[in-house]
Amino acid sequence: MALPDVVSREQWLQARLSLLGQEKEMTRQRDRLNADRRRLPMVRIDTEYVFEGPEGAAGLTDLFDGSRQLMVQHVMFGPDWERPCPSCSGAISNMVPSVFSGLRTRKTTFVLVSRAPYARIAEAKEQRGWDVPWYSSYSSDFNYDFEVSVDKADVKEPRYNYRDEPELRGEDAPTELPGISCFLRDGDEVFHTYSSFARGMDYNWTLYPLLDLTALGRQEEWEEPKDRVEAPRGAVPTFDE
Amino acid sequence: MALPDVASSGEWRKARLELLAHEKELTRHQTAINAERRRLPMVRIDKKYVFEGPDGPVELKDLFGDSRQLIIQHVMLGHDWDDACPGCTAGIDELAPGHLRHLSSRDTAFALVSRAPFAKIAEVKERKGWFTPWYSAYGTDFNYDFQVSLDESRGQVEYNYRAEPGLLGGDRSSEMSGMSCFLRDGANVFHTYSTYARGTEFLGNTYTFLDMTALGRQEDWEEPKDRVPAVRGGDPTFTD
Repeated sequence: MALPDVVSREQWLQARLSLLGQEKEMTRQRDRLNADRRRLPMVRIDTEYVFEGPEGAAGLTDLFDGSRQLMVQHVMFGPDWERPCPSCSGAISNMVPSVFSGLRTRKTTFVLVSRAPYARIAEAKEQRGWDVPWYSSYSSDFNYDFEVSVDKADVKEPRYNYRDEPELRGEDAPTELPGISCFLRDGDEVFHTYSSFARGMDYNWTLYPLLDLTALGRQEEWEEPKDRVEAPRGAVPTFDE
Repeated sequence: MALPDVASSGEWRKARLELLAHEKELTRHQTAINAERRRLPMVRIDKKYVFEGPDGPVELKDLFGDSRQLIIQHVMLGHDWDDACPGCTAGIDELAPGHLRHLSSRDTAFALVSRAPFAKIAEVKERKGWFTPWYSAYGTDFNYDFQVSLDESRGQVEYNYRAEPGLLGGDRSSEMSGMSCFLRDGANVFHTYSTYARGTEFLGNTYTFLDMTALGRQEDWEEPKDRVPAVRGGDPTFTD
């Protein structure tokens, strides 16, 4: 095994300062990218998707639960799967209620959606003790439209992460894929603003990176473009009403 | 208020693909920086720091438990403060037992350290219902050496690797936030990394924590090679 070289504090500091310069450059690159993401246009959703949740059938608008924004984590859990994918499960088991309540303070509701029938979702939730809103898109095109289900019978030319993925046609290829999609509500209309897949989700599991994916961003005064929310906050990572 | 322009799905897709290229560039940039971080040298800790925890005094090496690595979140709570800083609080509120379990499955312990005496820490921890191990650095040089307590009378006015005298002052002690990583090799403990300010903003999931450490995610695709005896595949699962 090869461990880092052992050096004096002064030598370490010199190396650390050089890395710090690169880290700051990356933070600035990320800020610019986040602003460009918020400048994306959006697409009105004209399809009436019907999900099933704990209280029966629900439309996409219902999933907002009063917020202006909705984030959907596409959890890999196919209709004939015994259990959801282990990686998705790992991420969900790390989501404590304060993540959801914190997002709500910034007008954003977070839910999970899988293609497994709701009975199976309810069972998985119960087994793991997860207290997250989780809906079934079993009988709708939702998962196909957002390119996270690619089972062979329904999809001739599988696409994932905005490109053709012919290897997803193989016998052993997964039928369900992970992703995250963001929606914005304006009056009665719902718009799709963003979807991210694959490594685009690596850094998602705290509130700032999550909010950075949405059209309204962190809703802080320093962000570009301006004027997305009525009362932007200061640049403080607190999440109270 | 200004909302995004409404576009057709074809127009949106074109804009999205353009952004995707930038996003991939950032992911690659992040991956390269993470490798650079693991290439940093490390410094042996020769000073004996004695912390106080729920079971009395402990040393830095004790904070590792059985793990090879230790991540310390420097929580802003001074001896004369009534409560932990709200930003630190929000971060700790979002920690799930799964984070600590997953880190531990990759040989990495996680602990909080503040300069307040342990009695105050125990009281705040109880009140907030936190489960993360939290130690007091009261009476040690630890917080000064790692630049998260500033005190002009001790000549320590640096934060994020530069002099920040503007952060001094006010009626109470000057505490700052940060994260520090340590590696154990036999009886020796080494400091590998510390990050402050916006450098801590994207931390929270198991990968982002592990990306700060000398051993990384411990997966077979990472550079530099050969840091752990048995590397895993590039798969975000965290079982022992």
